[in-house]
Amino acid sequence: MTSVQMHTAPRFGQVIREQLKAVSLSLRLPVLGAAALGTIVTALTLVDFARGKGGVEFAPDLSMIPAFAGILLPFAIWLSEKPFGARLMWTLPVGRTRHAFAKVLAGYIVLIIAVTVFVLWLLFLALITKGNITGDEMIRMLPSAIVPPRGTLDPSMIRTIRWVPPRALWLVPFTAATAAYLVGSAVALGIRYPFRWIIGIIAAGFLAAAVGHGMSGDAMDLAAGKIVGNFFFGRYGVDAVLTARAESFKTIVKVTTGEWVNVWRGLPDVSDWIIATILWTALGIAGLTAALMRHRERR
Amino acid sequence: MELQIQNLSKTYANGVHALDSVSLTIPRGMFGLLGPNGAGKSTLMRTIATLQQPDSGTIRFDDIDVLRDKHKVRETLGYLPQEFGVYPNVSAERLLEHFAVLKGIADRKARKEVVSALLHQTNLYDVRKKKLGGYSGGMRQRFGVAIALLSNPKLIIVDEPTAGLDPAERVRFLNLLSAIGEDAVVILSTHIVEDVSEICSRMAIINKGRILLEGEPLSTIESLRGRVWRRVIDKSELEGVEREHRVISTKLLAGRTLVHVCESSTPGAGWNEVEPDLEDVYFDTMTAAA
Repeated sequence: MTSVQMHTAPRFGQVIREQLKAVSLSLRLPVLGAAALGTIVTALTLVDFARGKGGVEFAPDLSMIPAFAGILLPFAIWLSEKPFGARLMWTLPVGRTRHAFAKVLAGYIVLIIAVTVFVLWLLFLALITKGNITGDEMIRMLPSAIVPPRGTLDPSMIRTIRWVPPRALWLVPFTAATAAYLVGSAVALGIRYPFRWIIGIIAAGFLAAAVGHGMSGDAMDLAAGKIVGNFFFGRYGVDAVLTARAESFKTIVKVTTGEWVNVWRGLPDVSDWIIATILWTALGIAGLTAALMRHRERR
Repeated sequence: MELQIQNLSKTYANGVHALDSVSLTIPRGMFGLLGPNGAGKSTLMRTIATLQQPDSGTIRFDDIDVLRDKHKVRETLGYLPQEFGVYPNVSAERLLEHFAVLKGIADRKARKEVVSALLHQTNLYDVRKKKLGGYSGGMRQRFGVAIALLSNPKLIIVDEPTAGLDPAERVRFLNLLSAIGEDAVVILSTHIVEDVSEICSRMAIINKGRILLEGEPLSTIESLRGRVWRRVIDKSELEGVEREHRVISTKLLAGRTLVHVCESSTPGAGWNEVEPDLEDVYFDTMTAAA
């Protein structure tokens, strides 16, 4: 055996650097897969452009890919070093909470780099296909946020306006990915069997909806629908974080002439997006803190 | 250098008494902890490895209170669990360097030297660039030993390391372990008697959370000399033999049953005295405790 001196605990900066390398190495295959997919999409886009199809629009706020990456990445990171149970990493001379935090931070750095590359790639596609990079477009607006019943809307009531998305919304992929990553990390780190919980909650939701419908009919349906609707599409709901509500404001209506028309029932509000981002990020931080505390040393 | 365990107890939430007032003194060298599945071996190993708290009791490693000064213990601890996660797409050399940093070997040159030496010691140097996902079971276990040996630990815990290894891999692994036991307290937890008999200078037998026997393997074998008898019988005779004698083990042999009994004098005609081995000690101890 080599005669090595006993060593003390590593500095926290060293732990973060090592976790960054470890996380990057463990994600090598998914990254290569994403790069291959990106190459194929780029090639197909260029082929379409060469055939005369329109350019690609630069609208990073509308892509949910960064948010999906943010929510799934924690599970990929903790796949090899499961946080629960008697794990080898907990016998290392690094505090458990610090070790877990270092891994979460390392994953976040990798995520932000990936989102930056993704946004730059979208910009690159827009530039080489001479697409719209300012995001401004002519859109049709409903007279109010309430969607009228099918076939009752007079087409003359629809206003056509020029919508120029605030530049601040270019940050949506980063903030959405951040909030999603925090929530995903809280779940991956804080719950021993997260997929059982997720499936269980979904199943319980369906069961509750079925029972509620059987007991109270439409009233229950309406109440449940309102709760779910607000959670996903409300002013500070999930969609507000993911796309600044750009997706939930879009809809399709049938006008009196029988035609189906794509319209917007409102416009993304930057202040609503900021508040939603703060709320969901705070929720993620609170959840992650609770998850990290679950792994603290017990005397 | 010794590990002292005093009155260690642990009961899980489901009521299982995993450890029941376990007391052991483990000096420098290879120590074998032998017991069947569910005996409490892994619970004891995890407690010593600072991974779980007991309900009561103390553990001291020289002047370190293991239960209170966990960080201090981890600076000198090497642990090879039954299952350790690896990054399958990372090479052995790279992952060993990763753990070397996390064990506090900050200096790059020293780290490279240590990693290289350990890969040689565990006979993995030629495959150091190969991804861990492509390693056989034996290679992974040897890699686990390399991790456990980082930063020259003085307390090494090896939990069921040969389970699932083929005979050749098992021999290679045990040879490796026996070489590292000279300057550290090495605790080998296993249910395979041969693992203990081949390389351990001291041992204990544990079952249902209690230490049934502690001592040197050779001494325990010697205590059974002249008392172990063997006979080959038909299966139908087994019940009768069990009624009349203290049967400690039965094995199948070419369709018949090979019975070992422990008696202070000859059990009768047809019985042959045999040289006891550690397996007889183990089964005799388990039978006495039943």
